[in-house]
Amino acid sequence: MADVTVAAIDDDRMLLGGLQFWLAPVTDLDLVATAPTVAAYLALDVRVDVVLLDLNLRDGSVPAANVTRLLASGAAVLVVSTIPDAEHVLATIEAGAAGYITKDNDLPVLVEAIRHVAEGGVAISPELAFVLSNDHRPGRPQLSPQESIVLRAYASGATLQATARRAGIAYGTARQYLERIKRKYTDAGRPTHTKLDLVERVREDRLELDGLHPPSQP
Amino acid sequence: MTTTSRIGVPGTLAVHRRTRQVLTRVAVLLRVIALAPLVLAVLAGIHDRDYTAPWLAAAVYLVFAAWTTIFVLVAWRRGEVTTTLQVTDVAVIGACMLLVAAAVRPEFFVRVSSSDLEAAMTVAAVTIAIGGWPRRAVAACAVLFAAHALAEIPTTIRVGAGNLINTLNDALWLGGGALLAGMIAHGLLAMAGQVDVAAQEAAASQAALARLDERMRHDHERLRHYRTLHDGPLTILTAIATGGLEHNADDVRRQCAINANLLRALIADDSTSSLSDLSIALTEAGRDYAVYGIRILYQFADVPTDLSQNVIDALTGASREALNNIAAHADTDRAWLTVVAEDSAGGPLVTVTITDRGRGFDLSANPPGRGIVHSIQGRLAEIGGTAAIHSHPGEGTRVDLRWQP
Repeated sequence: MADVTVAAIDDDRMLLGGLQFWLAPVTDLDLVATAPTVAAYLALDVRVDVVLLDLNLRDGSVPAANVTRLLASGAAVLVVSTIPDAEHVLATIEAGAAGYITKDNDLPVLVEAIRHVAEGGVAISPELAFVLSNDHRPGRPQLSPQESIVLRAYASGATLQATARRAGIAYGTARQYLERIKRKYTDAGRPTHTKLDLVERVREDRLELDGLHPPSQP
Repeated sequence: MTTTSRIGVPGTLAVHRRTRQVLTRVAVLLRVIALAPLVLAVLAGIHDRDYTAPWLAAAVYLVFAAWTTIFVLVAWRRGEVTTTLQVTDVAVIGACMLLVAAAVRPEFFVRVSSSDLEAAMTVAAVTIAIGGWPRRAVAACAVLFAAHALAEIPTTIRVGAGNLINTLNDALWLGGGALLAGMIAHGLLAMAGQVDVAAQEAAASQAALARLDERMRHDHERLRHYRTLHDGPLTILTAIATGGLEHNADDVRRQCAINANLLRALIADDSTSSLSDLSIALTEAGRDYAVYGIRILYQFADVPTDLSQNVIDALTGASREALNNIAAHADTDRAWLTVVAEDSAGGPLVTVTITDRGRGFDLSANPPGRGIVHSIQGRLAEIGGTAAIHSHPGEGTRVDLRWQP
């Protein structure tokens, strides 16, 4: 399998230097570009699999808009920050970011998240689960009671196994729940501007449902 | 414009309003009492056969009685004598006096000592004066006295100067009564206004005191906040800055990570409220585990800021015990300390969760030992809370502490 190409956008030069130093020994991840802003990164005109995007860039850019611009470049976006600023974390997830982790995580956690996102998966850290489980906004996506239990247990730092045991479900099911919750947020952020969009969304949702419950064949 | 502002007291004020109400009711009662001399005058008039047009007199008395009833009811219910009531009252009394004069012999006003509607006339002027309307009271006195004088012209012609003195005497009582009533009302209302201002000032200083108290509490909180920062992050940063520590050494980096989490906890606490005593107490407790090299990740959301000290102590003490168990048995260097509060009918349900991803243990094979039972469940039981422990070999341990007011 080809190496995963990674770019990092952060205005903290010390952090970018540290990241280069950190990822150097990881053979399957190539940090090919670093930039202080999204505009500077796009000007480099490189294509990468995963962009590590700092949540609060000091250029005053809007975090969710940054995610949208990067997704348009074809990369998956993993948002990172020092402090989980709930409002902006939620906005970036709704804008389609594949995941969020805080910068204090160890290297193996970061590497695993990047690999997962590169494969088209989602990276739900306990800190992201905590932000989602404490989302009190009126228009937030509705979660089932079972989804809430899984989200809360995972948010408190429990492993996925322990979370599954707490909810009385299988490990794989717990993972599916987390991914479904993440998808609910991304779907909530997906705009339906025109009637055509709406038809498209209904079609997508039906496909999704069909995928979850395959009709039994006689 | 309100009467209140006329005597220089701002706003609608409780004692002032109440005083006006009492004064109005006094005026209304006077009005009822003034019916007694009228009844006596009428009885005397009937006895002496003074009524030359009894049907006219009867009609006038009926109209007057009906108006008095309306006046008393409306003024009593509203607690004030409105402009409409004042004007109508003066007009009705004046007209009645003139009409009664047309229905009696001139001697009628000489024989009865308090002639007919005189008492009602004085009370009407007094009522306006009591309401705090000095100019209107003067005008009312003038109109009523004019009607009174006109009504008594035939009597004055018949009796002469004697009745003139009598009429002037009535005018003095009318004006004097109104002046006296106005002065008393003005004095009372001014005093009531002062009482209200004093009450407002007292309430304002009480609010200022409360703000000061809040400020002191806030400063105290900040002081604790700084102490936590001083003992942790500031100490290690200073040590690195002075060159006394090799910052790349594993143990130094671990301490940096631990202290970074401490800073994160103190910064990231629910941004909509002030830092809660519980989150400060828990980060203080967590700081003490730095010596064991345990990195605690703090997550706080919606933590109530008004928890009592014994609740904070119990939750913090139980958390310490859970962290002790991690340090002693879990074989891990990471722990999560999470506090959330949910709104519920009985008050906020506060849940403190201490989680690790360490060794874990079999709860059925290792029933909760003395430490867990006494220090965790016992502490929570004392404040009416509960503690639950979840663990499984290889899957870490999770301790849930729950408390609700």
